[in-house]
Amino acid sequence: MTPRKTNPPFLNGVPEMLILELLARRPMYGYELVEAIKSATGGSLEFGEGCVYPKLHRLELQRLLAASRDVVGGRTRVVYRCTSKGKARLARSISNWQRVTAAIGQALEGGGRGRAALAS
Amino acid sequence: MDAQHWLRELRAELGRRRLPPAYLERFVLELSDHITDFLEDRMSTDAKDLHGVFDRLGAPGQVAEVAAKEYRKGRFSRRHPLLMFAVLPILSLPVLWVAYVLCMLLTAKSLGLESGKVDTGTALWQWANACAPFLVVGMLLVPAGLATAIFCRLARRAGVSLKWTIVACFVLALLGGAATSQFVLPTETTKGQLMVGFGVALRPSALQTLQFLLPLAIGGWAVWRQMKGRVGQALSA
Repeated sequence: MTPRKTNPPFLNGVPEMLILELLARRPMYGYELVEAIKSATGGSLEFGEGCVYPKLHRLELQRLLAASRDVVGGRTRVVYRCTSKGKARLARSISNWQRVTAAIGQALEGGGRGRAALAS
Repeated sequence: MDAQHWLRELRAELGRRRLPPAYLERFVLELSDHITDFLEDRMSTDAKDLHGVFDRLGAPGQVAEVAAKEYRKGRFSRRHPLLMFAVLPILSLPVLWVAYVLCMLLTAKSLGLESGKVDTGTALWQWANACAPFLVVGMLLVPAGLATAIFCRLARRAGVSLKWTIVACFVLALLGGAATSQFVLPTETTKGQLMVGFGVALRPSALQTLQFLLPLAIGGWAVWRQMKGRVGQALSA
């Protein structure tokens, strides 16, 4: 089996943000979430699907997500939902992300304020 | 490679990385569900489709590596279990003893039982004197019991292996069991005294046996609860 190519390490923290965003919209089980990530990003971001579960478990441990065993489609599955703590973290992550992307965009366009915004 | 073989390999890789059995079971169960969902989505048991799902999941070693990394990232106690459940209990007990003594001193002071200002004829002094042995017993039992409960709770919340709960309880049982204490209230002529030391008699007293057994009993109860929770999880799966 060839190792799966995933996105480079500069996307650290992005999978967590995406997971929180999608689960804040509605509770989902693992497979459903993986499909939702693909659909939401138009397949541009690739994560090894097996690596999504350890992230879900960590977010659950940090109480950003809550998991429960629910019957979905006639089968018992582990369904994840975003907690209020998770929603607060998501809001912070989105604000940071927007600040960084705006600063990088500006820096790439040759603007002078990019470096200052990145440093703040 | 079939699904069972992939999951077996993953289980072995997770085991090699010393992830606790409860975590391992849940992870494998969720991935097994994932494979079933993938095949149901395509209404297929075709070997080509199966290969597709393994390609999407990643190699067992790679998935296990990420799982181990994320597992340890979760909490400080997961990254440093030795420090958390073998060293910190040793440090926590003296801290709790000091806190207990401070509480005793503050209470004595607030009741006017300070050295040099005491009248042993008062009802308050008589009552405090009658309570003194219980305070000593409390000092030997309460901090050790409290520390055990705290470390058991930390271990349960962090989801670390049961062996760390047991290690913490044994450390606290040994330290708490070896502690001895004596407390004398101040009188008009003498100062109050509090002595704390360590020692184990060849034939330990009932109190010292209780000191040793209390953390073990709390630990045993915590381990039983943790195991019950895990069996419940496995059954509900």
